[in-house]
Amino acid sequence: MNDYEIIRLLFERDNDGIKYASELYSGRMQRMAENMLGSKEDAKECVNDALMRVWETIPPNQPDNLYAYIMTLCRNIAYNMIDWKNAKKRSAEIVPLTNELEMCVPDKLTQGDMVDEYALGEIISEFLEGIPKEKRIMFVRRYWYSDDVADIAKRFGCSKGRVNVTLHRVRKDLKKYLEEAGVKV
Amino acid sequence: MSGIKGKDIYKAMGNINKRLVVEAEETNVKKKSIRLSERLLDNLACVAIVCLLVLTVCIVQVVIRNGGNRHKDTPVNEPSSTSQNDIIVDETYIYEDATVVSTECEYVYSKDNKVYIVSKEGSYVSADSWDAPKSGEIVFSDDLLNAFGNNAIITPENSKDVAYLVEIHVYDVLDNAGNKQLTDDGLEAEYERVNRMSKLDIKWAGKPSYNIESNCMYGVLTVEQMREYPTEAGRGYVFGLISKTELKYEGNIDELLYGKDYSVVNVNSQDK
Repeated sequence: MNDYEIIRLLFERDNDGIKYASELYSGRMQRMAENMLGSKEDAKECVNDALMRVWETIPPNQPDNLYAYIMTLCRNIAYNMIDWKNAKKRSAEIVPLTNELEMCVPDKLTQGDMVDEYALGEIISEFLEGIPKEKRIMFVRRYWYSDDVADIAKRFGCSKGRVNVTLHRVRKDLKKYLEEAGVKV
Repeated sequence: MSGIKGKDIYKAMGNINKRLVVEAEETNVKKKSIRLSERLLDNLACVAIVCLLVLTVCIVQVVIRNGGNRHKDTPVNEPSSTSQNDIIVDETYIYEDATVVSTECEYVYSKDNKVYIVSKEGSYVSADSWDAPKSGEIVFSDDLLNAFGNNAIITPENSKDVAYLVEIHVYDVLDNAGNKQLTDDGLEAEYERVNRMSKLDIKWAGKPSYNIESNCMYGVLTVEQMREYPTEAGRGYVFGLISKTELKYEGNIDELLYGKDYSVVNVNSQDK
């Protein structure tokens, strides 16, 4: 069962579409959400919500890449859950990651400036497109998939130190890029 | 309203180009082991050049000392007992008794009709203790040994070819209720997906090799396939290459899959 067939089933409103999507992608969604939330149960809830969203949004949406689509849904749901939990002062699981990314915030940023998250996403994409592939993948694994540094090191067959150094440099370059790109500061 | 913060950038990461997301998931990453072997080859080349120079100097000295006449009793070097197929390893990591737990990045080599298991830095003790790398520990899973019946380790002399036995970690093939789904369909889908993502026609060891407890299934890759294989080794991925065992064998992969006509060595009882 491939993505194309799953989407076809979803368009026919066949429940098997969700079943197969779950078979293919639940594990990876669970893994990512668990990395973000630090809770198996919450992650499972995110996975179920993401699958539900897939059912609700396809059709009309017809994603080119079902994997990216479904993982993005799951990431957004997990992020919203974190936001909600933070608001309730229940937990703040992604604090280490956001702290790391603080370093990317341009120095000249002033009170009241806010950049549209979609525009910022595009600028970050442009930046990532322009850096070496290995660095790019490390960065995306860390800040999109919320992978542990140890997991990234294992994936690349290198030391954790090397991953940390690489991430540090990419964050520094991103900060510079954001300033140069004229992110409203 | 305050300015953007780290969390805004983290959130905006969710809007990056989906192509980058897919790339980070599916791109092959060159394994350290391959780089190591390349480095080893480089080093060997350097060593060979140095040896050649030293040898040349020695020969010149002998020739000068003997006035240009070769000594009649020059000893003939003993042939090396190491066969060409042996892998040069750091003996520190050779263990006589394989109390094998599981999994990561070990390999096997044969010498004098015996099998040695070599683990590498950062090997993991068991599939369940992902966060506890333990270097130099011998690791070899019973699951892996059982994957091909009793024929997991095959070491005929004069091996002609090399393949890798791979252990694929399946991250909970779940049904909608969150239970492990062990139906043939679920596994077939998983096999299909791994093959599709890796763009390789992996020879799977067959359904019986799927282990419900460890969530692993087994297949065989050629060296070339191995270089192309996505090196997903992390905890919790839907699949990940968590074990790589180099097998020396004679014959083709199909035969290896069924373990026919090979001498079998019990790793656990081998002496160094």
